[in-house]
Formats: sequence, C-alpha cells, structure tokens
Amino acid sequence: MHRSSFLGAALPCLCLFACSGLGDSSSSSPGRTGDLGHGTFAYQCVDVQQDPACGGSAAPSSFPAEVAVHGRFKLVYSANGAASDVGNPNIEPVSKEFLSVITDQLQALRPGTANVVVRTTTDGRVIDFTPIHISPVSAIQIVAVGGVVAGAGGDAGARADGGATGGNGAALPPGASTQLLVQAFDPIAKPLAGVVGVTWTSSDPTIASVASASATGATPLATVTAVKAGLATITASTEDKVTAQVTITVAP
Amino acid sequence: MTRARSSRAVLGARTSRRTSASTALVAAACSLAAAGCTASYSDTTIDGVSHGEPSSSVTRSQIQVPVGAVVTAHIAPVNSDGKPMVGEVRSHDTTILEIDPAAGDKVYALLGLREGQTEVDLVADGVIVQTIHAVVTSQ
Repeated sequence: MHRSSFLGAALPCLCLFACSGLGDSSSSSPGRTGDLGHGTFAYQCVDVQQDPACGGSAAPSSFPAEVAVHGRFKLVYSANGAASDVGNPNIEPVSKEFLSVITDQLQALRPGTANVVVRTTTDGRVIDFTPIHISPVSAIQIVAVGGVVAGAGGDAGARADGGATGGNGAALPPGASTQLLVQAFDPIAKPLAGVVGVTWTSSDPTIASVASASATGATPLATVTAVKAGLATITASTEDKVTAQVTITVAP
Repeated sequence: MTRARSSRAVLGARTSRRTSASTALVAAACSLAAAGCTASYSDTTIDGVSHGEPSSSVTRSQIQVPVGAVVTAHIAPVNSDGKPMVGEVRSHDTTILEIDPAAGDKVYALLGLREGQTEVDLVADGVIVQTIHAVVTSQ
C-alpha cells in the first residue's frame, strides 16, 4: 500500500544498515510505514540465495511477518519529504536483548517483538520506529533450489521436521551436484525470514558430500555433490538443534 | 540669605530623602507585585500517547513500557496561566528506560531497554515538578 511512496525516485533513500553490500545479492521488500509515519522501512535479505524470504533470486513481495531467532537480515529506511531534512539517520534496536547489530546486519536473538528506531545523527531525535516480530524455529524443511532433484524419499514441499523432503525419486549421477536450502517455520508452520545458521552433515561423504555455501560459517544453503553409487542421508541442524534430513540417491 | 538658602538646602535634602524612600517603596511594591503576578508551574499535560503496544501506558501516575517497545507521548508542562513552560523528561536509569526527544514539539519517545523499575522526572523551567514511577515489563 505504501509501495508508491517507497519507490518514489524523488524521495531520499537513506541507506542504513545496508550501505555496504547492496549489490546483486540483496534487494528490498516493499516498504512498511514507520509507526511515526515519517518514512518507510524495507526488509532486505542478507543474501537472496540464503534467505527464503527472497525466494532465491528476488526481493520479498512484502515485509516479512516474522523473522527466525538467530536469523540475520538488513533494514533500510527511506524518509519521506517531511523528514528528509534529518540528515543521515541511524537505525538501531531498542533492546539488545532481542536484536544485535553485526556490522551492517541485524540478528534476531530471542522470540518477541523487537522495535527498531531511527534517529537523527545530529541530535539523536527519534523520527520513526517499527516492530520486528521474532519467532523461534520449530521446524525446518529442506528444499531443492530451483527444483533440482535433491534425493529420494519424502514428499516434495512437506515440512521436514524429521522427514525427508524435496526429492522426486530421481538419482544424481556421480559428479553431479545440487543445492539445498533450509526454510524455517514458526510453531504454527508459518515461514520465517532471515538467514539462519545451519550445520550440514552427510551420513556417508564417500557417497554424497555436503558443504555449506559459505566457507565462513554455517549457512542455510548447501551444495551436495554425488560421489559414488549408493544412498546417503543429508542432515541439516540449526543452532537450536532443530533438524531435518533428506536422502540422496547416487546412481551407479 | 544665607540662612534661607541653608534652610532650603536642608529642606531640599529632606525632600530628596523622602523621594528616594518613596521610590524605593514603590519599586519594592512593584517588585513584590510583579513577583506575585509571575505564573508558576501548574500542571503537566500528557497526551497523544501512542498505543502501538497494548500493555503500555504513560500517565501522570505511572509509566509502563514492555521491554523492546517504544511509546511516544506529548508531555508538556504548563504554568498557572495555562501557558507552556520549558519542559524536560528524564529517566533515572537510562539502561532500563531511555527517554529521547522525538519528532514533534514536546514529543518524547520512551524506550524499554531492559526489564526493571526506575523513576522519571518531569522538569519545568529547570525545576523537577513531579517524579513518576516507571516499569519496563517483560513481553
């Protein structure tokens, strides 16, 4: 509803957390008007490939309703005309019990409603704020990125709280690889936004190996590589030990 | 001549002293009157409280803000003539409840930083006129 105002080219876009890394790997959701009405907040994926809210390649269609505990994301704020004289405002969480700031990103720390405020850098006045709803991860699902076969077993699209998902029964030939992505869900099965930390393991790396998409740490995106014929179970585990598994079949 | 001049001089001196005394009395009276007419602190109005957080409240008797939440309110001291005074709102413990100016005249943002209790001073023209108990509650 506030899309037109957010997208207005004439409006001063005040880049806050996202001043760095605004390249191809991130894009903003349509704006959500701040509670004081002086501008709009937009959600931005830390990495569009790793944040399910961005669907792999696009910006979220709306400001996500909930962010996962431990989820990382970015926010940008665009002041409207009335507040455009505030300089370069800062955005910060109200309580560091709920949200922490890591370089140019926010990370959700615990369930609850965490407001972020936008301040002027000149006099610290609060010009706007918005709530971020944080939910615990109750279940995760492993999905194959781009519909690529992920393995055998499980119903495609089913939640993987203990079961396998994403496969259509086809097998990977040795040497082939595919990507898997973890989608997190809240206690009532609503999808959660944010890049969560996920540890990936293979029951038999000599059949199928798995590696996080980033060498710098656990990520919800992983690459599975078929090595030799057989079956291997790939397990994804979040920081809170919520797990899901998928079985990979490697063809002879 | 000399006597008369002298008498006039004495008379003039007396008259001058009387005039000075009268002037001083009038000045004092005026000062007292002026002091009596200066409007003093009367009340602090609190309105325009945002209701984004259902469990929050900002009144003259208590402030309640959930941790992690923001509540804004227009807080303005007025004098006995009903005119605005220079106001300020201060938290005793800014690690529990932070109070910052917000957009708008005499609008303050109250930020619940962590659970706990503290006091908030309402200041009018540099003088603390009221202290309000404040609670930052859990969610």
